[in-house]
Amino acid sequence: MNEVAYGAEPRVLVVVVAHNGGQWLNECLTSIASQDYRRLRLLVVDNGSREPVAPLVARYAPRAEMMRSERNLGFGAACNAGLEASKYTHNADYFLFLHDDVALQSGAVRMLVNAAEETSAGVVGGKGLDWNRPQVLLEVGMSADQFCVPYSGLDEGEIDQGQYEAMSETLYVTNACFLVSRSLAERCGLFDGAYFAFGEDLDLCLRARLAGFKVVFQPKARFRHAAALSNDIRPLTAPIEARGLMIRRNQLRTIAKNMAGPRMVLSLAMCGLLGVMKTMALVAFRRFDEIPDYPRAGMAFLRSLPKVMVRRRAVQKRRRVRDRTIRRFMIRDSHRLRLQIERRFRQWDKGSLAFGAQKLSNLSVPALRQRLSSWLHQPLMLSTLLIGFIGVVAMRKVLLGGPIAGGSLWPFPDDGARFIAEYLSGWRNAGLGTESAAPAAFPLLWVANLLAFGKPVLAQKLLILFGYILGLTGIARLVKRTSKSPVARVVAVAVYGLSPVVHLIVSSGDLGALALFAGLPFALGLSLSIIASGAAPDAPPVRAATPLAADNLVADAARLALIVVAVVALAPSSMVAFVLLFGLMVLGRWLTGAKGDEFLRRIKFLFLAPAMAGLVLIPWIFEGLRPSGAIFGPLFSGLRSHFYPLWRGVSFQDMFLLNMDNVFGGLVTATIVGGALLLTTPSRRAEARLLSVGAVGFALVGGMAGKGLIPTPVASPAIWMGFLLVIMALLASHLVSGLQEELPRHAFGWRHKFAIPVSSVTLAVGFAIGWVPPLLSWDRPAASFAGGTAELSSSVSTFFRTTAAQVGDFRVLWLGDRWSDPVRAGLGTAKGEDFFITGSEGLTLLDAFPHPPAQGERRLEQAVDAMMDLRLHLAGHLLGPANVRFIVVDPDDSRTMDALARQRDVALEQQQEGVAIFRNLQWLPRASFAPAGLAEGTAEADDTEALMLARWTGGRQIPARSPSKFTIDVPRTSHTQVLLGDNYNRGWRAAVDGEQLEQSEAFRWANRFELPPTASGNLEVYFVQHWIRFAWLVLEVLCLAAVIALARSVRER
Amino acid sequence: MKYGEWIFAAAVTAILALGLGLDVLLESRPVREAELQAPDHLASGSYCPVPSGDISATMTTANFGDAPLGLRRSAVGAVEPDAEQIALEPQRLSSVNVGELTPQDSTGVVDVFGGRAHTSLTVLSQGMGIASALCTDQPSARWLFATGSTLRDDDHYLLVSNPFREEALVSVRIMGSDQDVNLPLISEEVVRARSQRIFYLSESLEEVPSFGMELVASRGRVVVSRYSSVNVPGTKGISLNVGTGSPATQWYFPNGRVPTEGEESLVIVNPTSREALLSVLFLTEGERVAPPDLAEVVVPAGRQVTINTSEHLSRGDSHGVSLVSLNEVPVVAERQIRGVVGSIRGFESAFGLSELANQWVLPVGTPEGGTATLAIVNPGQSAAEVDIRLVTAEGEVAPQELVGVEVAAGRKVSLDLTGYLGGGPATAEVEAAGAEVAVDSTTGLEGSYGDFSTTPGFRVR
Repeated sequence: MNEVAYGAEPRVLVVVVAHNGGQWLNECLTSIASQDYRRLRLLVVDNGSREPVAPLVARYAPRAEMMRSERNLGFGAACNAGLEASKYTHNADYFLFLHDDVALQSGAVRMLVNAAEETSAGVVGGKGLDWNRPQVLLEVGMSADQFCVPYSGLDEGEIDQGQYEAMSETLYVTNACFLVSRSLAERCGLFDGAYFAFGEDLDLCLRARLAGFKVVFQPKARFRHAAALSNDIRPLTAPIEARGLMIRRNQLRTIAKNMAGPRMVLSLAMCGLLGVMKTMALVAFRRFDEIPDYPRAGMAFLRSLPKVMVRRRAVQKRRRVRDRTIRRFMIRDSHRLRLQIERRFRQWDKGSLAFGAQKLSNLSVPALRQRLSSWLHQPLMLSTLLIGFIGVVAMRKVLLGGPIAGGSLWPFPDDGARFIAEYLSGWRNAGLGTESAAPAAFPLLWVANLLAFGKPVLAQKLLILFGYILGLTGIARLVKRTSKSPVARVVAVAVYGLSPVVHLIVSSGDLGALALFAGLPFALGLSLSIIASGAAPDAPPVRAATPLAADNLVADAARLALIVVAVVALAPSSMVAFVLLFGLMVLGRWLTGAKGDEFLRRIKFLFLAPAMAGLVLIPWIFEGLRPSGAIFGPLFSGLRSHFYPLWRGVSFQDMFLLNMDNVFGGLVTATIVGGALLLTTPSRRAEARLLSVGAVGFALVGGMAGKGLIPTPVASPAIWMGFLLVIMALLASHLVSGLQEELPRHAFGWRHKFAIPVSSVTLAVGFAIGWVPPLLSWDRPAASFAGGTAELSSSVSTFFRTTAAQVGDFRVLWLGDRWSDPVRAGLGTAKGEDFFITGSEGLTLLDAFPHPPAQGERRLEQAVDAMMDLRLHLAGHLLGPANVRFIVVDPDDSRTMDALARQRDVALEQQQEGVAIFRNLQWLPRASFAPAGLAEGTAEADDTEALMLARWTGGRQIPARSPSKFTIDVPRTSHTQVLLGDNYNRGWRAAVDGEQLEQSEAFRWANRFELPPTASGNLEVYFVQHWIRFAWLVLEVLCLAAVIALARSVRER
Repeated sequence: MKYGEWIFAAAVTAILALGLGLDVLLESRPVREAELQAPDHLASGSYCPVPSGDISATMTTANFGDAPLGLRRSAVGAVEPDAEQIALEPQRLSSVNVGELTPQDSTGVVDVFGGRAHTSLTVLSQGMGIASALCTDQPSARWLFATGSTLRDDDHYLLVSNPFREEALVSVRIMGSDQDVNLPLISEEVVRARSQRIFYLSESLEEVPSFGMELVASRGRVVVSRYSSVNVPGTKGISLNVGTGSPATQWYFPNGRVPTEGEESLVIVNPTSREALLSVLFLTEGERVAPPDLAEVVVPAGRQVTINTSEHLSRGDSHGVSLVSLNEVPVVAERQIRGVVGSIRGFESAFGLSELANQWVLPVGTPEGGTATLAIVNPGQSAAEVDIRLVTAEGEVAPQELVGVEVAAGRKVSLDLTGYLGGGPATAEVEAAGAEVAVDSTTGLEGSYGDFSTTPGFRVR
């Protein structure tokens, strides 16, 4: 660094703003006085201090100029006022602004000035150190994100080890120690006095940067800073506005003043949105005191907007640099968000650090060794581990194998933009196009996919493992509430975890049933708390015998609702089962003698849970409640005399005895239920009776549904059997508890003597022969959509994606027994279909929430049926308008191959081991001008034969701008029709230069728009957006936040 | 414990334990077929590979339905707009000379829209004979034939037709009675899109008297026929057969006849990798004949076996044949006649029927002066009552004599239809009640076309 020769040294005016900073001010003034910089003048501004600072200044800096304001003007305004009043202002080359809680280290001023001279910077700041711990860094140049939220880049408590010793440009420096050049002050002015506190330094630096000045961090200029205001240790003469309010308001002002037009609008809009989201989060976390800051900051900003705009004009007038140049000094929002979350957690639960440290100390090797040793000496722990081990071994083929296609385990949305678009859009690219809402499970699956690094296969397996372990944990906790017996807990866990029902759940890939398995123990515990505790004289000791307060019931109902939400989002039809469960519990409770107002009150709270869940799941609940929707679909399907596919072959044996393969499994059930009813004390017997009513009710309904005698209540028997299983596990715990704890030998005599060995032997035989073998011997689960191996799946996906990149969007028909629809058994309603349709991106279009099959799906189903029954040889003609470009077949499936072999308008595109891909030669792009022959052939008669007879020549694809928007300039040809291969929907519009085209139905299912012969200009085909869905989404999030708040209310208390 | 507790516990446990009983007591509601019924027949395409040479080939399509059908007739490789489109009224048939559709040797194609129709091909070769075959609507990647030969003047051709817009790649392996001739005959030959290719077997292999063939398309789908032209001392005639796509565990030959001069043989090929064990039974009009040495016929894997019927039956006997695999290993079987049957000297080779059914359709027409015989065999244990309807160019014919024809269990019945047809194309529909039967038809022609030809029926689903 070049030394600045004395005499040529620039003149520096130091401005110290003091406000009740007596404890730091003396050191501050002393540090200034001890600087080796000679051409230095000092101005101290007493900014409304309670005790005047003049005596202190006179003592420590007798030559200093002094100025006092009777009220606190804020830092920026005080600086400005001081400079206006000072006699040194006019000839100073630099202004050094300091807080009164700052102490400069020797040579700091010289270093700052040297840096300014050397770099021609407008602003220079130094290295900030903690006042009390000078080895700790506070500031090394600052940055911010696009929302003007500051970012220091330092870890909390980071030690200065010389890691920041290079002088560098930075976005801004704090005004604790802030050197400003005269040229900057003259060109851009100084601080914006309207800020009062927080953010004026960023504002000034941004203005400096926009005007072309540099902002430089000089690490050799070191200062200690107490950060008194930020740390809430500065006494205030008069109350000032809330810090949060000032920070947020000033952020908005800084954005509004300094950012370029479009970015300003976007950033302000996003700030508003973030504010709404933060408010919701604060509601959820019950930090109500912080909530008013957000609307108040917004209002304050809006009130000051005219003045801000005046200043903005001045700033923009002086602008020499584009935002893009400045943004390279800014940080990304995501990084800042992560830090923000970390900081929030630290703020909200400071005790967690100590807790975490304690937990960490428990993880030391000796501690772990000791704990493991103690575990291994506990037979019950070993038993639990053994149960978990058997369960994991049973799932080995799932956990180690390829992706599962069954159930809903596959369709994890993997494209964030697409996910959000479809989530909010009024239209979704599912099936042949649907107006149904995106499934409620979408966000859960998306998050699961994100957590699995975008690997759906990994996400599947993690979910299975997590669900299984959570279920076992849940049942153990449930039993713990009613029994002190560890043996009872182990038996209940064994019943729950080793049942063949687990096999059914996992091998069928039913994610909904898995969620049910995980959540049901908790749900049952809560519902028992609500309905079974309190009034009845012989109630089981589920909780305290005193009646619960209403708010406790509300909290329990809210927690129950949250579990119901999580399960119903993944298995919509389980809502019916939950309602039936609650109904049976009420019936059981009534049968055990509960009556009166208290009982009625508890019934209301019990049913409040599904009501709240329904509210949270708006608007999906509306979709699901339709006769063909996901909640009532199975039920109404049954009413229409259709079997719901998965229920075929389910028997009473399955339902009553929970055995899949042999009668020994039934021994377990009979022993558990009979034993629990007979061998427990009266108090337990009451709950056992309640539960047995539930078990019998569920089993009877399920068995009759399997026989086809009544409509199927839910989509999958696995869901139904989950309810039976949890009831059975709880009954088992009652049986064991009764035997172990409550039946004294002398009172029960021979029953006690025989009951223990008989029930033990029966349970053991039942487990050993009836339950465990089927659990361990299951075969590989359903093959994946592309042959069960990840390699083949990847190969096929790559083929489609590559083709899609070349030719645009298309649909793929998966045909044959081997391909199972991950969500639905095909597009039809009545049969176990053997086909399904996807988009070019594979399965991302699929839907965990079946939408009612529309006319397009029915026509497609008819075409596929005819093809598979060998009654069609021109399937390509029928599949073409549906945008089906490829048909994927298992070459070992001779029936399907024979059907494909007949089709004259498809050609084998690619064949590899395990998969054959046929190309549809009559493929029609999803949006196109109708091919001439097709238009002629089908203009009058939209029937199948006319479609098959039509010869397709010509036609032109209309490029897609998004899944729901297509645009093109109308070509100079004789096209008369625009075809859209999507289910007929009045929401679709087509317009040429704004003039709407007439819409009609094509092929009795698709959309056709008549194009006038003289039409010219830009053609746009688009779907009308329903922005109301966004409002629904906001409402749903608010409802969820409210339910979470309710659920946490008792815990908080 | 109260008495009521015992009752409650007993009731609950009993209901649970009686799950098995409830399953027996309550039957599952069947899924109604009507619910699963798919829509009506939409369209089908029939393919008739036509041999080259000095022949006349006629495609005949019959409509046995109640509604008119749309018919589009063309030929593989012909320009599409040249296709002939007509409406075919119910209970009518329509014929077209394939030469009118395309000047070149090709495959006739009939597309039917709106219902089901049956198309057959009749080939007349001046001085050589007559052959007829049902056209197939099922292209496949695998075709099997039980017989073939590369002897001098025993000319066999494979007509490989590819009516699709993708190239096909075909290979043929032969299966002889000895291990030595289990060879590849044709390897990876290209059949271009929308074309027909004819492979003359004698060009690919030195003289081998008899072998079976398996054609596999490693890419694409094809329709394959075998055209045989035999002109050796004592035998002259032609035969045309569409191959079978898969082997079967049972075969029935309704119209067998041991020639008074020459040989009738059952030729069986086992294309699998396991040895097949077959039982052969002759069903005549009066008895069921089970030769002891045909009770267990071994057909080694990948080999051909020939059974000469004259070794087990008297010459001139009319009989049907039932051939069943005892160990469920599927085979392919054909019946071949070289010699004199009745007054006609000729040659034929025909596939059997691999299943029994209650309803059959088959061509029965004959050129003027010819004879037409319908043979029905009932290998079951109960008698069948059979109704026969004929559709000729003039319309439907249903004579009383052909209504309620009884076919006793384990017997064969032959019906002479010549008097009802009057010369010209005709198609028969056979409906059996009481038992499932197998049906085929034989056309005989004297004079310069002197030959006979047997066509197996087509099962109506």
